[in-house]
Amino acid sequence: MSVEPRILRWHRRRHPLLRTAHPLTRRSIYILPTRTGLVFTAVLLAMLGWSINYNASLGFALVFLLGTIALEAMRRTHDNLLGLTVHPPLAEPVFAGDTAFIRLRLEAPAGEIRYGVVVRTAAGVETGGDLDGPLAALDLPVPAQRRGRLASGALRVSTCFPLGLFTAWTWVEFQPSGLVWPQPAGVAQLPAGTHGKPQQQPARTESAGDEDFAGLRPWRRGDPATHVAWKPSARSGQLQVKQFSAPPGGDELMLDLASAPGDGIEARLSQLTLWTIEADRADVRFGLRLGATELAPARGSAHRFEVLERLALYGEGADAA
Amino acid sequence: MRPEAWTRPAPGARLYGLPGLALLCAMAPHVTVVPLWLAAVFIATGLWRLGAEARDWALPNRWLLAAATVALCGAIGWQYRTLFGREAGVALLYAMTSLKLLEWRVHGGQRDALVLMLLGYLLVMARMLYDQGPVTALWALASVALTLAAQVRVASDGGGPPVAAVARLVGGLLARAVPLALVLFVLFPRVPGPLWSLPQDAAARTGVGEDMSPGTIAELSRSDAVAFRVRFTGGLPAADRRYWRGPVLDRYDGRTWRMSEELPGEHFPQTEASQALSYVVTLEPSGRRWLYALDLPDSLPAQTGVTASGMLMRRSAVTEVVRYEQRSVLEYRTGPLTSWERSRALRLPSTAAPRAQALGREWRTRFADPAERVQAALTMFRREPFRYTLSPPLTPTDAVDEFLFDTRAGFCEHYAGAFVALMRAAEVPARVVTGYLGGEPSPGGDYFIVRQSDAHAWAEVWLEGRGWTRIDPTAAIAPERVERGTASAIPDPDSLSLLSRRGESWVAIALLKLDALEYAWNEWVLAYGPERQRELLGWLLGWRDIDWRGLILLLVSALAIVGLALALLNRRSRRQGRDPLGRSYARFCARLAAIGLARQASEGPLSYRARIARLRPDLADATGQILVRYAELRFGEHPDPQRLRELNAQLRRFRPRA
Repeated sequence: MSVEPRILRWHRRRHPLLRTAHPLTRRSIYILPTRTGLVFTAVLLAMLGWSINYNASLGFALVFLLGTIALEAMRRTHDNLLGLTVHPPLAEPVFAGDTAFIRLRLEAPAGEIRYGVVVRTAAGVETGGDLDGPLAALDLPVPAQRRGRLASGALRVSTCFPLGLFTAWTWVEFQPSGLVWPQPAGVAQLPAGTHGKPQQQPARTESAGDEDFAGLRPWRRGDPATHVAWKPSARSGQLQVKQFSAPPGGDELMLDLASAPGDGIEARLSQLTLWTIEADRADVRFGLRLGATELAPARGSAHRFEVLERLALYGEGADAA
Repeated sequence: MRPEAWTRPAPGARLYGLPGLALLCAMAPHVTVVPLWLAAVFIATGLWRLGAEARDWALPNRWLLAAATVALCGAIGWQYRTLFGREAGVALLYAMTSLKLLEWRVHGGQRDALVLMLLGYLLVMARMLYDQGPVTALWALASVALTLAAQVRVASDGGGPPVAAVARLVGGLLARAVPLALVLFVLFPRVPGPLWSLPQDAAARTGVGEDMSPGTIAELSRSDAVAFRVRFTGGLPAADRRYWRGPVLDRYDGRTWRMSEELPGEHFPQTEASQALSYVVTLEPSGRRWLYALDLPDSLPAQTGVTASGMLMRRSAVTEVVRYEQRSVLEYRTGPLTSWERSRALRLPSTAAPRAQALGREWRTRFADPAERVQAALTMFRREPFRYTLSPPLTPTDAVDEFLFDTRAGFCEHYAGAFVALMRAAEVPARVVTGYLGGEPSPGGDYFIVRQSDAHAWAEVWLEGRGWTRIDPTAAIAPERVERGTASAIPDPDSLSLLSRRGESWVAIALLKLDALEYAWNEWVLAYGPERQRELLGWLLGWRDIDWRGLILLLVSALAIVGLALALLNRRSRRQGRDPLGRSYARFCARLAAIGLARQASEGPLSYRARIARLRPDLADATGQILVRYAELRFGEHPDPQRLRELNAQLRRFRPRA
């Protein structure tokens, strides 16, 4: 419908971005007849003309009954959204250029069932169904175009229930909240370590790492699943992780934005992201320096997440903290 | 990773049950009017549709459907010779619905299914063009409810609430819609008459017609369909005065009597008259323009004029139930004839009935007074062996001569026709009048039922000084026909249908009792048109002669009032929610708030109880019991409905005073 973008602009002027759970109110619910509703109206008008022409009293009764039913259905369609609470979406971090899945939770007022609630993303992906529990979750794909906080965009929550003659809808647009890491790009080869002996390093890939297998140790939180040794684990009844010997020629790497190759900040951040992945895969201890802020070298997935988050939020002001 | 948090049922999984049922219900009664082959098409497509669902039968593609559409339209056009009008229209609707069943796919078929639901409403509407009795109304309500339920199912795309909840939802929709619909029904400005000319199909109904030939009335006599019902508001007319005047036939071609084209006006033919008798007629749809009134009418219903021959003619054919208040004068004189009227009332084709013409000419020379010639004819009917019968021998060559001189057996149309022919030959201006004679009192006795079996034909002769005078030749041969109806006058009453026989069988009595319901329905629902609307509002509000502006004003204000009342109701029910315990608790808190002990927002029941005990020790016992019980029910593991009832009983008794 062509009027919707205009209503959306108007809606955005009146409603700031949401931060917390938001109950839908009358002020933000819009309602229009659907195409079926318009055809239904035409059919009713034809039936009215028919009744007038044939002086069919019972025909009048039928037309009026159906007409008032449609009005009542309009109210019910509107009220099907009223009081519904939309919770801020949760999202797993993704790399820019990928598709993020946000989990949107909708809550019906206590003791009520809301049928046929449909949520559509700005990109037009639609999902929905019946809300017959207190809290229902919907997973929606949202394209993550650029690094930083994930903006889930204006999510259109709508319903045609009960008769499909009207569609009531609203938009919920939350403060960007999830994380979008920079898109990994650039050269996969890790730079020389800045701590320890500077030395040319061989390319570190998964297969190269296997050659440096040094033994097993018990699993610790943060160990990547690819390093779990499944067969020995099954034998011992305890998760065992393959341990690799420290890479030869320097055990620490400092990734520095200033010295990363690439044109412009974004390209350099992408390069650092790729190195972060590679270093983590090679189980190298690595740190990060972004201008004045610095993260001490460490390893493990918690460290990797920390590094990626800083890369994602670089230059985003207060959000970067 | 993408967990399916909401599982939606496969679309179509629950689609077929309700929509199928709704369509079956909407289609079923039309079987009585659509051709059999069309009903067969519906059954075939329905079975195909079911087979497609259950057995994965292939559905026809678009080209095949388009071809079938064209073929069905052609067949309907061939059957009815038109694609317009009521009959063909209903047939087309039937055909389209049948074919749409095949177009409706499981996947992405929501729009097809919604179209089918709209067709369902149209089918209900189409039925009302044939019958609007109370039974049809009940069927329509059931059909609409089913279609609404089906529409809920279809609009939810196969998901949506379970059947019981759908039923509740539809019930709620209807309950909320009925008050507003009632306001609209009563106050929506009704405009008289058709907006565009109706196709001729509406005329295909039984009833007294615009012409009469031997057998016409006898045929009608076999039907016990109701022609109209009458309630006399003043006194009752005597049994031999209940002549309901219909078409006046004064053109004869040797076999058939026909109406002349006459322009209805506002001048009644009577010049002198007795006091008028008042009554109310509720006329069933006849498809004809004339209305019936006791001989002679003395008032004009809306949209109606009177012809020079004393017929009430409406502007448009009666296709709906019409109720009109009417006055008639039973004793009257009419004015002189113009020479043109006189020549019209004497015209006989020269080739018709030569023997009757000779007899008439003989009477003309023998009797100077036209009244004597009339008496001569009646005496002939009485003296000669004439018989009154519903199934007389055929008179293939000349209806009048063979009846008068050979068979001497006939029904009222034979007597009236032959009598008028004789009178015209004897130079007494005469004409045939058709209509109904008599009527059967309802069991309660407050109204009369006039059936098709009461159809009758009589004659009028014009006599100097008296004007048009009613002469019923049937009365000369079968006087009991006038007094007690057809069944008592013919030798073989069993050939009449049950209700025409005026029997005392319990079936007849039960049917007559049902008729009272139908009469009330006709009076209050079906005959509710522009006049009735004006009358009702005049009676209810004292607002006489309300025009459409007044109606719109009333309508808008009444809709506003009812709408507001419904909105308040909604608000209350929303605030209370679906929590009976919470409602009870709110009532309890409100009572305490009224004596200045309002519950704080942060207070739970038990801390509230403690505070009340501190502030009002006299209320401590009563409130303590209630609050503890409430806390148990609200926060306990297994709330017991019996305990809720006890709590409510306690609450009813709890009336704290400040």
